Amino acid sequence: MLPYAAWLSWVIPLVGSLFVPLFFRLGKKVGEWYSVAVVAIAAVFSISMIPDAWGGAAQVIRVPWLPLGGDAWVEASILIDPLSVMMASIATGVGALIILYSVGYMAREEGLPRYYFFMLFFIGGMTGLVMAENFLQLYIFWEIVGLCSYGLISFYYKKKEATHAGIKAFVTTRVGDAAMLIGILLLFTSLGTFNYFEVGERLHEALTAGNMGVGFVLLSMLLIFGGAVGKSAQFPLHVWLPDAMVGPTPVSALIHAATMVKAGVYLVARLILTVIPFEAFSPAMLAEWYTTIALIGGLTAFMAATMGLVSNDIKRVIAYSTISQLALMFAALGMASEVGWFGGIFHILSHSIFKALLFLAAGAVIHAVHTNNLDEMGGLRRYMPITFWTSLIGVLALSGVPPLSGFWSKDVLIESALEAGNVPVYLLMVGASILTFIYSLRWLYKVFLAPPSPHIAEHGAHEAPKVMTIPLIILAGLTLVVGFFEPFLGDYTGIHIAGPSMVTLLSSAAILLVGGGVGYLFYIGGVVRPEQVRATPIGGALHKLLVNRYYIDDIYYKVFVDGFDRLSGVLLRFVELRVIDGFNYAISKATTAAVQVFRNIQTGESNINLSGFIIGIAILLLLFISLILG
Amino acid sequence: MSFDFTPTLNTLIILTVISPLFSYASRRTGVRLLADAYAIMAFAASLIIALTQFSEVATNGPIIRVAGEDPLTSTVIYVDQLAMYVAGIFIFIGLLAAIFSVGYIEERKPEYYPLLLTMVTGMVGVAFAGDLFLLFIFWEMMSISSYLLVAFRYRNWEAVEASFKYLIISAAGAAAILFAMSFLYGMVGTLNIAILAETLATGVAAGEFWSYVIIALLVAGFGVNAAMFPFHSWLPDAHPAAPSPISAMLSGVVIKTGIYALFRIMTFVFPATLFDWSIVLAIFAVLTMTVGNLMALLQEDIKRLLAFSSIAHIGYILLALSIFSVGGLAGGLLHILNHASMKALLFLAAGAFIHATATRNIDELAGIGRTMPISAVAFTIGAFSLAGIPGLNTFWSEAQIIIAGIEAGFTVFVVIMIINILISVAYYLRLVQTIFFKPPSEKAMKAHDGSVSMITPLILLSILAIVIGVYPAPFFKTVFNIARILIASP
Repeated sequence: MLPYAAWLSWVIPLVGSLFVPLFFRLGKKVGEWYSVAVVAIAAVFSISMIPDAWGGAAQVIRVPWLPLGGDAWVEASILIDPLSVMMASIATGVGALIILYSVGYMAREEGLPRYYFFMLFFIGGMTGLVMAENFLQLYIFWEIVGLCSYGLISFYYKKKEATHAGIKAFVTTRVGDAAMLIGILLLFTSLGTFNYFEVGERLHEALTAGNMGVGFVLLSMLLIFGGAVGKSAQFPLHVWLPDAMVGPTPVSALIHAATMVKAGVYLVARLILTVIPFEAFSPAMLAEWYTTIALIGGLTAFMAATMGLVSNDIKRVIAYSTISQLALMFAALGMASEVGWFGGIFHILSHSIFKALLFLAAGAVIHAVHTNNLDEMGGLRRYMPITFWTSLIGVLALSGVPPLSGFWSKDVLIESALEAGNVPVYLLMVGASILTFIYSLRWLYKVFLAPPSPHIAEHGAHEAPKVMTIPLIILAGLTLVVGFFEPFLGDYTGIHIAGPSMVTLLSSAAILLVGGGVGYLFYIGGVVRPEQVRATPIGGALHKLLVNRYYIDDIYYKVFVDGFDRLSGVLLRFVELRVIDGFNYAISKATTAAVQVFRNIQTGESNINLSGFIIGIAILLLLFISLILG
Repeated sequence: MSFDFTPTLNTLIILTVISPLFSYASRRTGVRLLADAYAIMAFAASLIIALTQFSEVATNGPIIRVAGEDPLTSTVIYVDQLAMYVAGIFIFIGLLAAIFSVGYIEERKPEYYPLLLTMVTGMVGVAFAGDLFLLFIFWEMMSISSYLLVAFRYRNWEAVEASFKYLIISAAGAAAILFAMSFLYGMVGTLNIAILAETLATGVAAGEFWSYVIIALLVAGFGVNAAMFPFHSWLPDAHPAAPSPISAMLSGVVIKTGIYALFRIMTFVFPATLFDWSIVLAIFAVLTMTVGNLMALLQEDIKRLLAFSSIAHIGYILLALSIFSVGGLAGGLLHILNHASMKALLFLAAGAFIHATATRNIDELAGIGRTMPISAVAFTIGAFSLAGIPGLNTFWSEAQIIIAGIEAGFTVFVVIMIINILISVAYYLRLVQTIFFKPPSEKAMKAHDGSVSMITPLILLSILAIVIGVYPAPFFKTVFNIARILIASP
């Protein structure tokens, strides 16, 4: 470990972000390469911690931070363990590649200082989030990354849908965050500490001593899980992520694929590993909590995948896929087993890489054809070979085709559901995986293989510049090899699992056969035309339901947005204008009147000043005398 | 005859005495930079020495130097952590004011820097003095140089009038202090603070009528300097009339010298555990903060507004002193640091605006945030900090005072303080709103950020605000250590 790496890995980008505008004053190139350098340095610090965490070693650093009066402190604490170091390395490592890619992708945009400030601030916040060893720090960084996400989704603030999507993301995740904050404060008020390990120990003590029921643990953990649902865009708070795709593509790749949306998964993995470990809190005791996670995960995985089938936006398809893949991780974590936990974080690793790859590839396509609409693409294989081949690797990894990374990690996920004997979730997982293969092939076909749209047929397209293709190639290379890291990851985390069972392998084969088969029939092979399905009554109705995203957004808008609008209209007319405003005006009038009284004393005349002095002494003396006598 | 004032004060005295030579050389050769560089170097050197001396005092305990044979009548230097803490603040703000002055002060710099150095030397001398007579001499050294600095632009009638008023009322205050000292000498036969503490802080004197006369005179005398109500009326005239770096010094640290003297004497010689002054001082404290905040609300002049807000903050610190618990004193000490740095930041930023626009009227500074972004952002950080926004430094000291007040049963006073903080938010937000969100005035359109020397202190103080705001632990440890020593003292 480099000296102070656990701190510098996140302090450097956080503080460095503040100087972005300064460096942009010296020139656009200076600012851009300064940003790349800051994140690269942070990445070096993060990666240098890997040997220290090897084998599952956990190391905690705590320093006094906020005073609680006297010698009691809320401590600032840092945790160096396999999970935190892995997440930090992803945030800074993938972050560095994406910042590099931005140099090319964002070259002609306005407001670059703002863009790089938020990106660096985000990377610092995300790294701080995963390195934190207490809930308070976690929460602060949690909000920092939320703020950056908002700022970057709304980056093109002149577009109305961009600001709208930013607000939607911010408000929707805030619902989960509120639950999480309540959970954290519940724990703090009853246990008097924010530190993960201390919370775990004190909870365990209170449980064994009988001072506290299991219900309290369940409640606080469920509330904290609420934060994870919002951040990781799980049902019912998944609605913000597809809309967030109006942000710049590198933002989607970094924040809405590789890192921030993983924060929820990370949080649950962290709770299971550190706060409520299996040894002290048996899965049977917290069965309701685990079941909730597994069910929400399974349902979301399947639902999001169905919506991904019909979207016509190159980035939204990948966004639905992200929701679905995150949900698979949750489902595995909900299996309450070592296999599930290992599968969850293995999939975090592989998904971060191939999903960042897919987004960056999508960005390269958008950069070339200036549209997000899949129907206006097609035939790009000829014009953009590097993008095509790297996308192909990404798509195959996402679909779980051996020997790419997705195959290995998805196997562990399915294995965990089988091992736990959770048939419904197993079926949802398999279903989601089949759909994943189908929409991935559809995406690949529509972008690269389909007959070119009239526009492309006429004008052609150009391959992306080198700063953009190099990150693509690096990420594709990583996708090819990460699958074989499974034993190393086992050594690293200290958790060794057996190889996949026969049923798992058969499930995988079935997924590939069915998914690939349908995908071939409809798209690559062109045997059945999707329009034919849409023409049937059931197919048509289903298509309409999916295109309208199960009408969940509509319901939210009707109930919450319009409802609050109406409610606040009433409040404005009867409470705000009459009661509160009247009260405010009364206060300001009274204060102004009081000030006029004091103004009369403040004449600036030396005679009056000196009399004030003498009167003051007299009052002091009188008061003291009355105190002594009385 | 040679006498050791401890390294920090020795350095300051020697550098101050030599400074006119450099000023003379600077004037004769016409190299203006010479005077600038000398002053900055002098402050920086003393600051470094003060920091080493602080760690020395923190590890080895107080440094005591007695000049003669008989401790009763000799000159005494007594340097403990409290003295080093405030001295460090004085020198630090002095350094920043000197840096700012390089770009700000345009005339008669050779006279300016020796006066500034004399003022800081006087303040550090007050902090280090172990007997009241030495304290009084340094006190006058500080006061006289500050009269001159207020009237520095002597062609301007406002400055001369303000300075003269300041002189008269301060002289009255000094007379009260001297009078109290003569009583003390009559009662005990010494002015050595340590011996006074041993003799008086035993409980016998607590029933004595004359003790309270002394306390009243001391509170009034130092209260004049600290701008405690009803002795504050000179401040709103004097502070705005001075050049901005001097306003920063006066509002930031000079009024803290009076506070320091009160902290020193009221904890050492007349501890509230024996002498019954807590409630009286608390009443004056809430009056002070209320008058300061209410008067600040409707000011048109940016520097006058800031000056009134200084009175309010003195009220908070006096309340902390009257709470007289470890937590209260610690909160007060931390607030000394926070208010000194933030008020200096605000006055310096306001000085940058005034330098660029030649107006002190708040309405004419509207929209200046667009043309002077760095100064305006620094100003906003200072305003938000003093308004008590969490995440910036002043929040912590105000919260500490409030918590300590509630623990000590000062609930009524604490409630008044909280209302006062809310009032202060109103005028700080008004300032920020005017600076950033109103359409720029004609004068503001032509403004632009000042030179490096004017920007540097602003950036340093803004960073300090954020550092203490997000990582207050080491500062809390320091002030709690000092407060424990003060409460545990005889």
